[in-house]
Amino acid sequence: MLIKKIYQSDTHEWHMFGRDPDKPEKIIDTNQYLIKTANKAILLDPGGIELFPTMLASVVRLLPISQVTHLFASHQDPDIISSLGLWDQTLENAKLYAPWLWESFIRHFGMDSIEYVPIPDPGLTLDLEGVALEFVPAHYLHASGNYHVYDAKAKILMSGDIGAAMEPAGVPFEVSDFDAHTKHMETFHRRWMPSNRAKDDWIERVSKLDISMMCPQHGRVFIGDDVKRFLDWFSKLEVGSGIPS
Amino acid sequence: MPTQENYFVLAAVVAADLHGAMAVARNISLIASNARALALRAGQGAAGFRAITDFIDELAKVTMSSSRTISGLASTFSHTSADMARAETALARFDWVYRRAHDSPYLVSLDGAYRRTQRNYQRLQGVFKQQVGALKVQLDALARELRTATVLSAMSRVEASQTGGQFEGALNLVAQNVADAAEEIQHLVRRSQQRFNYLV
Repeated sequence: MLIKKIYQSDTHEWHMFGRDPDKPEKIIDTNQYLIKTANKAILLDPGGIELFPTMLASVVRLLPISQVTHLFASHQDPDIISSLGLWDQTLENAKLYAPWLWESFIRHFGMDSIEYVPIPDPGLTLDLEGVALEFVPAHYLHASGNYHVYDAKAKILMSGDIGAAMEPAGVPFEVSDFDAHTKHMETFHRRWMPSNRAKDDWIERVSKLDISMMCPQHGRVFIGDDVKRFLDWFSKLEVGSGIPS
Repeated sequence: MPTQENYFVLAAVVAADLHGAMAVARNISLIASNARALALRAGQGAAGFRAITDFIDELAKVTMSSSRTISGLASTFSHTSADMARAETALARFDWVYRRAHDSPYLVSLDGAYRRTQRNYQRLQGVFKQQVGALKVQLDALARELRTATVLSAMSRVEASQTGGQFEGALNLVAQNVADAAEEIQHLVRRSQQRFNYLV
């Protein structure tokens, strides 16, 4: 699995994990993120059960496992958090921040020692050793209880399934040609995102944030002006294609 | 020999079989009630049969109670097996990480989790053995109890023949029903015993 440091400051670092060559062919490629402060760390959307050993091997390249004190699950999907039962055997005294709506569902993945911290509908802010991480509501995009993570200091938005792209294995981490990239995103967003109203509400909320990097859970990272390009493109896209208009 | 992963499947199948045995035992209880009513109608000639119905009823109660206990034990055992499989999976994944990330600077930080999971796995193995033993004892006890069904069925036939006349056929049918139901339960219990023989 490739690891890329995407942000570094005096207070914290962001790392991105993905493009796993050991991944079984028929499971969707995912990006995982880790935010590391001096003594703590949070794994964002730590991934599916199939991915667990490579993720764990990648994490211990960066920090001692006891430093992983927090997990975040944007929603309940298996590619997001089905590894929970194994993280539960790995981490002592960790907390999982996840939508309140999905608590009784996510617990089906197995959770004895990790503490579930339900995120309320309006979201909340986690203070990770002085770094404010805001869990921004993204309900119905695509899950009915869904959040993204915004780091105002790093100007990074981890945007879950928003901005996801379906591409062949091994593509670069970053978007280099936005217009060409849209063809890899269109079907995904039109089919997986159910609600134009939810989409518009999210765009309005996110447009107020200062974002220099938008990091989805699948596909490539949007940098600089491509973030604005994405929001414009998404605002014009009709979603909910599962129901014929 | 089942693999670790399908111990809990085996336990679930035994729980289901014993649940089936409970349903058959309930039928025996019904048969006993009907037999009692029939014996009363048959009058003095069926006095011996009436006494036997109490034993049939007792057999049904014991079978239901034992089946419920065994089914509950099998269900608990199934949970233990699932927890063991989870711990074993975690250990296998950790082993993979130790092999693949042997040059990682923080690999040693996994040692605590590995030892913890290993301890938990060993504890579960102890619980597993204990539960298999308890299940085997209960299954054997139930199997012994069910042997009395053959005796009861034979005695019922003898007593039915004593009544003569219009009730003999009906009472013989009761004896046959008891024998059939007991045979069905015995079959389920034998099957469960065979399944658990793999584990002891």
